[in-house]
Amino acid sequence: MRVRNRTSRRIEAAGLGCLALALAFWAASAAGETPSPAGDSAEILRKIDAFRAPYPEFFLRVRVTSTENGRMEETALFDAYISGPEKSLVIAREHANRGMKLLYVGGDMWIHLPDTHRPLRITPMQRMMGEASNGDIARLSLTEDYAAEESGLKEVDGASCRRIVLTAVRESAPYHRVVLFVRAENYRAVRAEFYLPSGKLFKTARYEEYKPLEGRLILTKMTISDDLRRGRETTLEYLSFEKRTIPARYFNKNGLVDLAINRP
Amino acid sequence: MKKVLIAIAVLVLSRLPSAAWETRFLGLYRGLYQSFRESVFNPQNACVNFLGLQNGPNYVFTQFAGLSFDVLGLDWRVDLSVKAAKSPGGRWETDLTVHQLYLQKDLGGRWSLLAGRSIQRWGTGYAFNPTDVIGPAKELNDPDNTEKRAVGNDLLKIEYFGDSFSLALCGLAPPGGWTKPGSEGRRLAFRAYANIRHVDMSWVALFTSGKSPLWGFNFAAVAGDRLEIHGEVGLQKGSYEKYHPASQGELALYSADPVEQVKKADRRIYLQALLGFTYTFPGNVLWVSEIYHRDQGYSPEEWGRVIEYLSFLGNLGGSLPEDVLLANRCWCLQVFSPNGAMRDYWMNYLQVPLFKKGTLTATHLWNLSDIGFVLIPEAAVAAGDHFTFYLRSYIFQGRTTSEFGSFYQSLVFEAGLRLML
Repeated sequence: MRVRNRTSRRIEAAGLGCLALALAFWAASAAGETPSPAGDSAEILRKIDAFRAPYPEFFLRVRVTSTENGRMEETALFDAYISGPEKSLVIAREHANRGMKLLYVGGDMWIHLPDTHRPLRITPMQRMMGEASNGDIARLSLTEDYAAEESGLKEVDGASCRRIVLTAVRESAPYHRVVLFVRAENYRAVRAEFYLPSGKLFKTARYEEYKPLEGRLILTKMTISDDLRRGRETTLEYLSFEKRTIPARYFNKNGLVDLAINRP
Repeated sequence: MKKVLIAIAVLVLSRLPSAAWETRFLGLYRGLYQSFRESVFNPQNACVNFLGLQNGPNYVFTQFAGLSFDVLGLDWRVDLSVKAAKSPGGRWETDLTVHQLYLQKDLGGRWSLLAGRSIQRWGTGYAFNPTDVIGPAKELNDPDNTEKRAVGNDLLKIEYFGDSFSLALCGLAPPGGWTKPGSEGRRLAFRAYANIRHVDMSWVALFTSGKSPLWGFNFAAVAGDRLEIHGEVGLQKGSYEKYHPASQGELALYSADPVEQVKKADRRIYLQALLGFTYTFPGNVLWVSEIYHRDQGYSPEEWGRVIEYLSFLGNLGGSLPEDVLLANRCWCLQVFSPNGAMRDYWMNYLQVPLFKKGTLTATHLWNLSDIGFVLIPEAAVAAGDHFTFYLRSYIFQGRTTSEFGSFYQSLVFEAGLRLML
């Protein structure tokens, strides 16, 4: 069955996991509509997310580059449509994966391959596929899946940072724990560590570049390194943001099949 | 000629000012070796010879091109293929096929309109789909049409998308086309989809002129980290398939024309049902398993009557002209169907990734009535982003009177190269 065959291979090849991880951060923070845990936790998450989502609903273009020991292995371009904290659609734009669509809605995920005519439900383990994947990637909606708690200060990359521990509040959350380091003065993320349920460090993300957009700083580059396979890194560069009203069918699995990919 | 004109029109349209366009090319170059065998359906290879089939290599070169573009605010999609094929002892034959040609328009953010020839899949099953009422037939070795052999239906679809549901209404052209007055087979299909508590559920109905409605339901859900579960049910009053008359207890032998197939007269409810799962093992090894039942298939008793009929034909040797016997015998081959001739099947599919570029797969379809099976192993190796070389075989096994054991092919060996741009 080439569908499953390609499902796994393409997710693996495309580094979609990595992108979805990143998008989850965006989706989690889609401005103003985020239902959040109560109290300080919600406030912390709101401050962290303020650097990630410029609009409630927007289009995003991302360049993903994978390297191993500093040598470039693969690069790919993706378009993403984000709506609120619980909806994202990622479409591959280049190479053999061109046209592949990955839809995340409220904890469920589907993939649609361009050679086929129906979207497939993806299990959490299938979402794990890919060298840059990070567990149940697209479910990494911070505000939905985690509670935040500050636990002291630490110097990271030369900056004084608050250490924020995110603990899963949903059973389906992909990580037992995420440790975020954010600048002490404004909660701008500097680094994140992702842990497996066993407690093992799985991935580390570095938030490397922020640029101004409509009067505030927005994350434009991050690199995720694989702590289980040293030397493997994936860099995500956020090339453009556009405020959009996105048709409802972009976030419905039945709308994926006939969705034209030529329209950015 | 009509197809050529359509292709030209599409190319002309593609030259119009457009916002963006995308192309997709797939080349499929393959050789097959088919091995036919004697069986109760094919004694002394008589039917195979009658049909002009020969052992030996077949060559099929297919070039597929997909084009999607945006003209005048409409999304267009066209999929064409050109095929050149040669069978043993035959000549090269070419064919141009329009697989899809449709336009689509988003209306007001929640409505979508689609008109033209389109391949739609409404089922959740992998190998079989009782609720896939508007899609073309599937092929067991390529159910998701990755090799682009399926041809869409001509239809008009309007769909409403809610936040976690959608409603689709689809009118399908009858076999004779929209404009043929009074033509039978006009179809209207409806689907209501909802994601309820993380379960995808669809209710499907198909209304066909001259037939009773088909009602269906399907679902797909994820349980735990590794398991996906899906299922489909379809119900219809009466069967609209045709059967060999011998299976219905009629002893029919025609001297001038082959035996006509017959319909069943009863009006009971016919059930099609499928239940399956996908399980992901460590190392990205996938296992798909499905149990499929269809009341419309031949029961073991009905199948047995067809086999008896074939034996009866064999005993008539010398008392009837040989060509009459042969025609009646070959006509029996119609009992075989891509959906399976009989009622109960168990399909298993296993996919094992090998290193970074290779994949081993095996599809196994078991007829639970007679324990015959077809096995389709495949090995594929990717070379770069664009080339994939594969080896595939089809192995039919079973008792001499079983469905797969009596099939006139015993083995097909296929080698191919896919080029994707």
